[in-house]
Amino acid sequence: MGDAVFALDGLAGGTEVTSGSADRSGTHRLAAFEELLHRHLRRIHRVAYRLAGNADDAEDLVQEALVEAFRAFDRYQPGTYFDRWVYRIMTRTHIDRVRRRGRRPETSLDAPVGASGDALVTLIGDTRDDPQQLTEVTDLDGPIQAALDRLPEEFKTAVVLADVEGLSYDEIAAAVGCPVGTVRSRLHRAREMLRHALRPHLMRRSQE
Amino acid sequence: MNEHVTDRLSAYLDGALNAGDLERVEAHLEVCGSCGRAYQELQALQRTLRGLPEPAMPEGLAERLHWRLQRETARAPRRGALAWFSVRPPFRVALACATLLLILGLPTAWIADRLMPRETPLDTDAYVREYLMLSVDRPLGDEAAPTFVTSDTSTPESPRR
Repeated sequence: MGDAVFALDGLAGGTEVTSGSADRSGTHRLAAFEELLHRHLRRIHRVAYRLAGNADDAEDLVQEALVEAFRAFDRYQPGTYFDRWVYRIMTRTHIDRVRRRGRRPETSLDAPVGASGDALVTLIGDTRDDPQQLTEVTDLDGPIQAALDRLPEEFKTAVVLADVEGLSYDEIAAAVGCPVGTVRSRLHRAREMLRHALRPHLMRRSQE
Repeated sequence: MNEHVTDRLSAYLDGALNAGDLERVEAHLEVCGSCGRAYQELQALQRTLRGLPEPAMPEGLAERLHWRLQRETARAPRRGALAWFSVRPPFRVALACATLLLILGLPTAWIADRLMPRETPLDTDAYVREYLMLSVDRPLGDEAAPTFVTSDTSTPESPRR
């Protein structure tokens, strides 16, 4: 632990953690946390970016979630996946942030899915006739990120963790705190919504 | 066999179907063009999501995080159980003594109360008997009583005779 005190990459002047403003145990705790963070920050930021949908909100989400994680660091079990532990905190933080802003879907998330998925298209918006509609929403990743942003947050979280990060159903269930069956259902519904919203894009992609 | 399997395609994509459902879905996909196209779109969707470009890390994010966490570290000892260490040493000793007294004193007092012989409740009969025995030499109608009674008959407002 003693040599765990290190400088984060990219710090101006290689600033190190010192014991000047905090006691020794606090400094060691910070160093241990930052050592793990150093290895996982890129992935954590990637998930935050896909959940938040833009760079500014992603940074706010990363900072808020990591401060929460640092406060709860005593509950982290060494040897387990640090990034998955942070995802658990970050998905909760993200939902809280969205709730504070009052951006919630008005439909029931776990209602049965129609065979055609038309009800879902109503919620997310059908862009079959107007593919440009999605690209105008954001210029980050074009229609894909815009379609993700229109998903209910629980669905977006499931699909980001599964298809962007490659987590298993069990890992997603642990991260979002719901049964595996709910994860499976949310993934199905999220993919159906995305499939309908992005159909022109996907048809081109499937023919490539 | 004619029933569409759209609601199973997502789990099929993830290899999360049980043996029965897997067989049913695969058999159906061989004969149903609509479900086949839906499955191809789901595959394309997953490829697209997996191929999303890596977002650029904001410049200075690591530094801003570092300072925020360090500020958190500096604040942390004043919270919760660690608040003890922010108390000045003289008060710390007094606080420790008071806590020790509370911790040791209360159980000790309780145990002592349980073990020590308790006073018997007041025996009224014994008290009256003792009073009567003592009063044998001094009858109740002594000289002080009438004086006390007569001196108290007048009201404060009426003048004494």
